[in-house]
Amino acid sequence: MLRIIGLELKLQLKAKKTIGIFLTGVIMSVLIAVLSINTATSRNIILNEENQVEYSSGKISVDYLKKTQKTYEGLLTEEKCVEIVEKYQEILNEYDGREENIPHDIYAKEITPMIDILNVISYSFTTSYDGELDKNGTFPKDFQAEEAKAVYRERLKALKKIWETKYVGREQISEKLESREENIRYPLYFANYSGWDSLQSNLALVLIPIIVLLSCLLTAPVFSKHYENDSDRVFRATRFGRHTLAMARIMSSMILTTLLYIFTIGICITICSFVFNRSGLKTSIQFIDLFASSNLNIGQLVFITILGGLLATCTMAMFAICLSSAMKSSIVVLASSFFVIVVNMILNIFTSGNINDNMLYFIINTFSPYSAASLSSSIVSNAYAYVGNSIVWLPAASIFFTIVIIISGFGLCLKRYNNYQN
Amino acid sequence: MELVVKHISKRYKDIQALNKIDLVFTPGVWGLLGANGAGKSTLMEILIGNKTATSGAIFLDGRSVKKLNEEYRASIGYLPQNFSSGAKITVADYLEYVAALKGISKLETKKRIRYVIKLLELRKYVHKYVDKLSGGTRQRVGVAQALLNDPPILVLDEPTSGLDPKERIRLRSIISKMGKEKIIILSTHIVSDIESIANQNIILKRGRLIDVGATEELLNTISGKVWEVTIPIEQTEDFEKNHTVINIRTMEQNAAVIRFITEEPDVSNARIQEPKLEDYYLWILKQN
Repeated sequence: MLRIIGLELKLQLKAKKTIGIFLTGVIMSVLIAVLSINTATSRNIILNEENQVEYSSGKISVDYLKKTQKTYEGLLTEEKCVEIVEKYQEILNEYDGREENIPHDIYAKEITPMIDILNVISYSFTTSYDGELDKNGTFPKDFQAEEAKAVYRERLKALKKIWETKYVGREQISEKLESREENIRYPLYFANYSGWDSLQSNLALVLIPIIVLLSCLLTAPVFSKHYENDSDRVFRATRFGRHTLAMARIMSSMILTTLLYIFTIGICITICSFVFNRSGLKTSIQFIDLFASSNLNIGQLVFITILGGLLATCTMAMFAICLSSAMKSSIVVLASSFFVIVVNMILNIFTSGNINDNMLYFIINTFSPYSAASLSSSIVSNAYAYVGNSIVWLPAASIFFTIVIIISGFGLCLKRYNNYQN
Repeated sequence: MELVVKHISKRYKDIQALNKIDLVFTPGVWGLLGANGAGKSTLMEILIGNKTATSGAIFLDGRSVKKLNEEYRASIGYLPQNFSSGAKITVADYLEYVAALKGISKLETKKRIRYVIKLLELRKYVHKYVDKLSGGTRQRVGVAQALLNDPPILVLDEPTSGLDPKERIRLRSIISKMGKEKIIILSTHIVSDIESIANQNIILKRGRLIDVGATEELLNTISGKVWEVTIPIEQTEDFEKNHTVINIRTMEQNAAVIRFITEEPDVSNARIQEPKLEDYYLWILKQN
């Protein structure tokens, strides 16, 4: 069997089509890495190498923030919050309490490096605040720096208010989210993470779907091509030409798919890791999504995105292989796989605003062969759904059904190939 | 060794492709004759297990081939009609791949590949892509893969198709030598190919078994019944309506030589001929 798997792999690797697919994967990987670097930050006011003010995003901005945010790296303790707010208010007060009055060189030097932390503190206080905000809309009016000590309590207060509004009559979900919230380790950790968030997003929304499509392109003809040109008549008449050959084809296709995925993602991550700050991977994900009830850091989020992508790639590849074992036309197999991916992505866009207790979101992100691709967003948002009277954690359901699809797809494939008659 | 086909039938919706075929194959060359759609390829595909019969069973030395499964397929070499590799693959890689599927060990594979390449004169094509070869050369690759595992049962569907006369003669000679120890079942439209090498003949018509027998036995049934006569060309059409005509050969001076079968000729200048298998084949089809 290993020998046949080896020969199958050799056959597939030698094919021009496979080389073309791998090459496409590499090109897309590099493009996504470049895109992630160029969109790494929004346009920031920075000081360039000649110490001149510049509006910049991309690598220049990343390099600047890497350098200037080093002083803020570490645990965001309550005392640190107070210091930062004090410093911000001190500078603001010199310029009539208005940010637009601050000279750009001062802004670039003093405010730009602290913006990420300031945002976390200010949103914690203002999200559910009903009163008047200061002139910049940053803090509640007459906010005292000392109050910043209560940042984490305020965040929890704001979160509870959100749950109360969202989950009326669905207290079980609120309770689950509250228990997850208790697992979050405080204080949060901060290090310059510029670029990692845009990379995570580009992986989830662009590169992973492309790799999944490429892997379907690779696997769609695994059986159907041989049915189409009748070349299987010779193989099926041999000793190992049924069950064993089918297993070898499935295994070699899955190996190739996994290699394609690891290779392309690896290139993208490697390029980005030379540009972005690697310590930024330790930053708590609340700096990307303040109200995420999750203990993950950005590095773990990126890892889960990659893992979810790998699962989605393998599941979709198995889906394509399974269809291929029953159909003569590789084009129909490919079109069906493409349809599943596109429908999944479109439905996810429509349901992304409210993923908790959303039956449509639950169905497409549990039972679809592409569901594992949304694993990271489901984990970050702690998506739950009611199934009857029980409450189900979506990521667990998604992983479970992904494994079921892979195993049952494997079995179905073997059976179909064994029983196929031209 | 005995391969028994018992009551095999195959039905596709409204079409009865095979109807209660009973055969017993023993070592030797078996020619399978029949028009297009007679059921030859269907029977072969059922024999090798690529299709399942609607009813009936096949036994090898008393054991059901269904139960034997891999063991049975290990004893088969199969060449399908219109053989192709289906992928961009060299002759060497293709033979290595098929050898692995046939369960030939790595060490034995090299020996067997060298043997079949030499036997079928494929040395200069070893590194060429199978599907880029000429029809005849590709067919020889098809025969080569069928012989890789030195199978006791060889099923060859139109093996001489696409081969030039020299290649056909050579292949017939290879098959003939192997027929002493193996069961070789081959189908062809070229009756002369079967006549020169088949020990036994099977004639199918529209899924039914019409006749089975050794070439001499079958020819004996029409011995003394095959005639040739020379008549003016204008009379050939009338002659065909009233006789079982096998062949018409036009000559110079507006004459035609007609080969026909009859118990007693009703023409004065008819000359008796040695019967050939083609004569018998056409005669038996007309009878049925």
